[in-house]
Amino acid sequence: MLNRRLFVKYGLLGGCALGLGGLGLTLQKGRPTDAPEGGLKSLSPRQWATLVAAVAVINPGSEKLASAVALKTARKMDRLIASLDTDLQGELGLILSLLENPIAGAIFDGNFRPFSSLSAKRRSEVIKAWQVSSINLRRAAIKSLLGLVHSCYWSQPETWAHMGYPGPPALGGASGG
Amino acid sequence: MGEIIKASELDAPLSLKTKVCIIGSGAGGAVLAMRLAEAGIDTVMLEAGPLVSSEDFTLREDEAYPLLYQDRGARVSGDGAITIMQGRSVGGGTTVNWTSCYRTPEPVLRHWSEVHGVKNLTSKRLEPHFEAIEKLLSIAPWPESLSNANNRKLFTGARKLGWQVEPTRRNVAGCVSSGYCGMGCPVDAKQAMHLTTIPAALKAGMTLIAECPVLRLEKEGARVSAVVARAQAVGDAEPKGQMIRVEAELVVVSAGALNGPALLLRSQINPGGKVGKRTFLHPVVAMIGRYAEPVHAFYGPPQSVASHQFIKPQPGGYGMFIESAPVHPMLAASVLPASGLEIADLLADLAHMGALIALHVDGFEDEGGSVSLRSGGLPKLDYPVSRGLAAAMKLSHKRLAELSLAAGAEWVASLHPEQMILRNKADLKRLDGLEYGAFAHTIFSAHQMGGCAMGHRGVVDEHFALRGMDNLYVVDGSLFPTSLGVNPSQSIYGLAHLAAEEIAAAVGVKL
Ligand SMILES: Cc1cc2nc3c(=O)[nH]c(=O)nc-3n(C[C@H](O)[C@H](O)[C@H](O)COP(=O)(O)OP(=O)(O)OC[C@H]3O[C@@H](n4cnc5c(N)ncnc54)[C@H](O)[C@@H]3O)c2cc1C
Repeated sequence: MLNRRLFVKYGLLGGCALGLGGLGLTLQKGRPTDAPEGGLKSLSPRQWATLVAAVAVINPGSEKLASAVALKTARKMDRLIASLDTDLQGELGLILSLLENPIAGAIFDGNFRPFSSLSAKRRSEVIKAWQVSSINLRRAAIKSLLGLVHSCYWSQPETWAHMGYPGPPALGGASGG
Repeated sequence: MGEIIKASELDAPLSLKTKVCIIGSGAGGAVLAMRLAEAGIDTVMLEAGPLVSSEDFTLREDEAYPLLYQDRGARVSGDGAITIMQGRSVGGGTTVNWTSCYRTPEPVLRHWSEVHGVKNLTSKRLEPHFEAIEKLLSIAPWPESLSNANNRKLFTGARKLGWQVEPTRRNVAGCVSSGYCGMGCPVDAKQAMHLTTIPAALKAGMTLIAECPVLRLEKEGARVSAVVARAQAVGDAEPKGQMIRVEAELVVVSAGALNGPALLLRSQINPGGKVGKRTFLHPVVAMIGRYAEPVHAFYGPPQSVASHQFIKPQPGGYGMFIESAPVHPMLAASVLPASGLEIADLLADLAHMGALIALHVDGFEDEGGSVSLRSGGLPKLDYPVSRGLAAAMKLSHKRLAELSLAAGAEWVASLHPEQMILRNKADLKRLDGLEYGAFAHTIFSAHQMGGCAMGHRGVVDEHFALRGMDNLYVVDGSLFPTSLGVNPSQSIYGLAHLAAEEIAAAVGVKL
């Protein structure tokens, strides 16, 4: 409870500082993930690994629906984030670091490994748990992340048939027709 | 014909002198600019966002939001609980808004007079200005027969329940019902500012500088001596181009709520410590309804029907009004708090989904939120969702669910992460088992207002002049001392039309 209160009190930055204090666990390596084509534009390699791991379970796709990994959603997000004001880039980076952070995971969820090295099932559970967490910071963080991942994924034309969305009408101008 | 300058293409710093400098090209700035320029007043307009036209509107959400919205479509409140949709291009919010138009309601003006001392904004005084705007922007009621299925559900449900409901008036001419208002009208039917008042102002000689965010106002005593901006190309994270400096006899901040107050705070202009205080959002909660037949809520005018049945303060202290919202893939997916197969299953029904929204009327019994600065100078909005507002949101969920079910929905769902599907009236009480307020469910706002409240104790006086400054004015939605209980654009157009007379007079011209 003490830790929870600390999180609430110190907010995102405080929460991360807390995590960084637990050096041993923090230095534990997450799963290394290849950089995207053209390199990373805003995220660090570690944040990138977290994002790829998150995206894979947020939009896993199905037989008929290409997955976020196949559609390179994480790469699209890295590029979108790079076009945001530095303050906002920093916040999104922090969200990923927070999600990855094994010390917070150990305290609150019993995960002793970084998010990117958890199984897909466990990663989904972590995301669900954060959505209804008693820590507002976690709810806000996961909401932002889900919003961005979904925005980048479901706006890709390859996902439209699944939704029965025929796409924009051709009306001249930039929409063609 | 005035000049159009793309700041990001300048290869040397630019310095200009003018009579009036207007910061922001949205509903307020553009109407004001047209009237001043047409009266022969030398006017320069600076807009942070790009100059766009239907040639740029690809109707793809992943291209439209980064191009046309604040923070590339990713703006949120400081704590992340509220999603903020706000325009950022020449035309401001009017380039992307959903076209619902209302005059400022009489009871709101009366409240402003009685509680905030705004004595001179009466319906009678505003009448000719609203009339002029209605004519200029082709504002007219949208026929029920041309409403899309999503809006017709609102009609059907409200009528069944005996609730007040009416068609909205829209600022369109030659609308083809594409449904893409929020991504820029593809056929130039929406009478947005970049197609109407701004071309008129340019024709009358105004200079427009786009891609030109204003960093700060420089002061000499009680005068703004210069407006300092820096070019920012589309796609650049921050302004890093040439510096632009405008010296004007009179400066008008029309940068909209959140951004206008932030600019003043960056310039250390904060009369009474009230800049950014009393910021209002019409905070929105939504419910989706699944219908047996396709409703294609991604096509057709996004908003053409509204119910003001619950506009008076309800238990909790907030009134609310109900409208529809378009259901495009990205917009829908980004507010659905689900992941994995759950969201894929939900979205498989997109063509059958309608969406209703409840907009809460803030600022009458509450102080709303407040704007401060992030470390880099962008606005940071703190908007506490009070217990009263959470209670109002709970009630609104019930009403939206009841309405959709009455309209024939097979099921309705709220935007809580604990997915709750309601199939009939008896299910409504299950909504009692959920939490309401910040972080409990999706909340968003497309109507940012206030932060430079007009009034006897406000930031701005009844003549639109900023207190304590000699040549600084505010003309945009940040002026409102409360929210409105109706969509704000026409109130801003009307006020700006009127403000032009005060501002022209301040530079010695009678309109
Ligand atoms: C998706 C959406 C749907 C909406 N639907 C409706 C509707 O149906 N009906 C309705 O009435 N209203 C609607 N609105 C709201 C309405 O469009 C706004 O209330 C209105 O445009 C606000 O006018 P404004 O003049 O206050 O500011 P804005 O129109 O927001 O204009 C302000 C401009 O100033 C620019 N700016 C900001 N800071 C700076 C700076 N530092 N330097 C230079 N420029 C700057 C901004 O980029 C912006 O272009 C909608 C809004 C959105 C986003």
